Amino acid sequence: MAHPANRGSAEQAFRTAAEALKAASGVAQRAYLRTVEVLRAGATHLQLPLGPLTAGLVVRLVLAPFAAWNYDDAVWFHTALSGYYGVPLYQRPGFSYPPVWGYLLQILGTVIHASGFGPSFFGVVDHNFAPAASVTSDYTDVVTAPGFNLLFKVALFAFDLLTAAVIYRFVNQLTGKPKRARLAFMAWFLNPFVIYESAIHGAFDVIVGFAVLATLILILIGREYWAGAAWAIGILTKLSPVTLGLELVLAIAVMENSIQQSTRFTVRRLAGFGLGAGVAMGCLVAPLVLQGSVQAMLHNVFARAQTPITIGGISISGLRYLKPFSGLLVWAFENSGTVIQATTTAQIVAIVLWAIWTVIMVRKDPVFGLFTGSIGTLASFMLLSPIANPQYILWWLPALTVFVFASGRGYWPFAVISLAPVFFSLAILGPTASLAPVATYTHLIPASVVNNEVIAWYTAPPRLWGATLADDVFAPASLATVAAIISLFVVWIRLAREEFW
Amino acid sequence: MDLRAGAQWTWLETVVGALLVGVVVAEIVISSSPVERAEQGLAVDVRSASFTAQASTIQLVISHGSPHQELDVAAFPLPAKSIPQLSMYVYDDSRFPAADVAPTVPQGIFDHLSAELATRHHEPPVVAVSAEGLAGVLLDTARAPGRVVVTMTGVLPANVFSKDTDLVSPWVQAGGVAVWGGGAIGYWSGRNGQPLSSDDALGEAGTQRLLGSNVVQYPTTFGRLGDVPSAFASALDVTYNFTGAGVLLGSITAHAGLDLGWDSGQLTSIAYLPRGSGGFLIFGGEIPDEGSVSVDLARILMSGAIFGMGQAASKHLTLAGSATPETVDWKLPFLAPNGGIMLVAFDPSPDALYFFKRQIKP
Repeated sequence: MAHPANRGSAEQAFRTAAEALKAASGVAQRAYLRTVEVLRAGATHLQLPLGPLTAGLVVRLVLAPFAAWNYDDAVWFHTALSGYYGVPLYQRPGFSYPPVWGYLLQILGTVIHASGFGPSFFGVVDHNFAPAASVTSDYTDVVTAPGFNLLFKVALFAFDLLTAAVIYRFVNQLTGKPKRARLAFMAWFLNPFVIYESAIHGAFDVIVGFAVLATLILILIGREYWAGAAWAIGILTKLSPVTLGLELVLAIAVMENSIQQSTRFTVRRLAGFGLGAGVAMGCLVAPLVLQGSVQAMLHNVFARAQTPITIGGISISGLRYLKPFSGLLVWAFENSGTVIQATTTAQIVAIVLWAIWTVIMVRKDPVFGLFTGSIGTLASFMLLSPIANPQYILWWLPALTVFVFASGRGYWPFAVISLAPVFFSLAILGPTASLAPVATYTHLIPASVVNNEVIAWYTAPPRLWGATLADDVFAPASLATVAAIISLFVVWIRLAREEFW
Repeated sequence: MDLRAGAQWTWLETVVGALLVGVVVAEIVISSSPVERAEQGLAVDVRSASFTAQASTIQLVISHGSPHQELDVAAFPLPAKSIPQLSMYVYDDSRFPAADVAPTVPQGIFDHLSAELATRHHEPPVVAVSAEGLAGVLLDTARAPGRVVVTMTGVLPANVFSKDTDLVSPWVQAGGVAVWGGGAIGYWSGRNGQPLSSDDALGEAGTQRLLGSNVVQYPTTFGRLGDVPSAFASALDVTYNFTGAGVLLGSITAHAGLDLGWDSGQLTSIAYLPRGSGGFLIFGGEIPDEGSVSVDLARILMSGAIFGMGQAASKHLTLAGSATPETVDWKLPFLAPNGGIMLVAFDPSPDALYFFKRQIKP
């Protein structure tokens, strides 16, 4: 895997694994043992690169207070207020996710209350934005206040930084090259898409990305219990990591299957993973059990999401942004049942295929197998969703960052994935849509201007290949990202062929 | 192999563990009863009330914690009849079509309204009803008084209202309150499993069968907004201001009804029209957001505003930063009738829970 000879750079861990395979073909445990050995013994206590760290934090702290994606941030506003008023998380509808991010917001709301601040600390309803909310249905007149924006985004920055630290140390451990690790750190922490999502949008998907990355690393170093716990945190943040279940279980089973007393060890490892996941899930659901809110959570997470679907986003259905395919939107809306059935089937098939890929690859190289299998599963799940928001990329971007910088392959697709979704996000309601806090809380720009700009962007006719002006941007951004993901899959297949066959 | 050899990743295990334990413990602590009580520490009481032939004056005592910043107080005269505790039935049937409402509204209106009422300890609970359940409620005219049916899907199901059927009018006449939202009431009559077509449009005639003529102005206008709040809208901090299918103010006067919403010209966004022993509470336009509409509806129904006599007074109080109880003397701009006045107090902040009401009789 990741044979660097014809690419100019060698990755110590991967090469070690490949050489072990060549030396003793079919003896999978050597690859596993060697990888684990490298992972366990190779790390040093590295200090994070201070320059990029400072730059990343400054950019985030500057952007965070006065920028907001108010359609989502309004939900965080209401959720934090439920903590402020002591209302159980799911008693009022609105927060339609598993509880982890809701807990964090409720804790924040309680702390703000205890600090003596009034409810206006969280934000206001600014009726100047009512027309934009009515016209677009993707905007709201709730404007989150700078202080609240900063506080809840700082929680996201903490996960950005934790993820960066894990990436940095893991890449260094795999490659033995601090410079490469520093580049990986920068590629994540200074990534424009990551910064946009945490500092402007306020999307909590980075928590999922961190949980997935932690799960993979903890499995690789043989800490299945904590890997299960990390996986459970991911699932109870946004459900999507549940798609990794089959792959992770098979990977754990296969990685140990040729060691002496393999059955006992395999069972022990699987049991550890299951126990960790079960205990963590039990802990995370316990507050809801005590509040009597489990039924309300299930209703909010599942039942309230069942409306006629729209298609698009960063998925294959992004094709509909091209004018010749624009009719797909109405067709899908009118045939929601068929679309859901078809996409769900495709997603299940993809999950199974990636699990098979992982089973095959993880025996040859555990890092390659587990990382490509996990990224592939989550990315395919996203590509095959009827509608995929750009922030879903954060589920697997940390793992991808590790893999690209450890293997030295896939830089161009990585660059596209880091930039195109930013353009997509900005095009949803136009570049001024995120400036509502600036308009409401400063005199720099009138609220009416932001409101009118949002409406003007949303209703603007196309100039190029789309059905609307936004579609003109959506189409290349979405299709470029989809193409980049598929090209990564091709790179991995080539890598596997070069290294293992 | 020594499983403890990989100590360099121990910090990651620690982070995962700390995240897990920290979040869970904090959530349990903040949702424990003592903390909840501390957070809901706003209270209003009526210290005295004086009703003379010249003036009505009430004195309020407000105790609060330092984070509470605002309090809205409203009062309106009541007729000399008892005000029932309202039982609410919300129509929610995904088999039937909807119109002039956002896709999440038909189900969301039940979720939000029941939550808004539950957090304010309103009894009895709100009940969701299917088209068949709705027909069952409407056919039970004997128990119509004290019952409210909420239909905010823009379409009445054909089994309760069609060219040949009208279960709504007799039920309202018998004392029920029909709440409507989503375009003009009576315009659409939807069939089970069928998308709306021209065959389902009863049009203006359908509206007139329910409300009478010259109540809703045709053609209706999508997106029209009211810009002047009525006395009740100001008093209850009502925000719904769509008047596209709003009720004509003249018809409200003619039918001894109430303007509870925002006015644009001769139209209002929310009107209560008495019919027989009951009435129609009409939200006169599209419903883009079930959340804010539910807050408005909860305030209107909990306050008993639909039983008012037309006048309303309000006072916005900015609470002092200290936690010392405050006394407020309020001279009302109307005299108290035999039924007395309804005093309502609530925290107008978004998502605030506090709601107080008391009927004060002379």
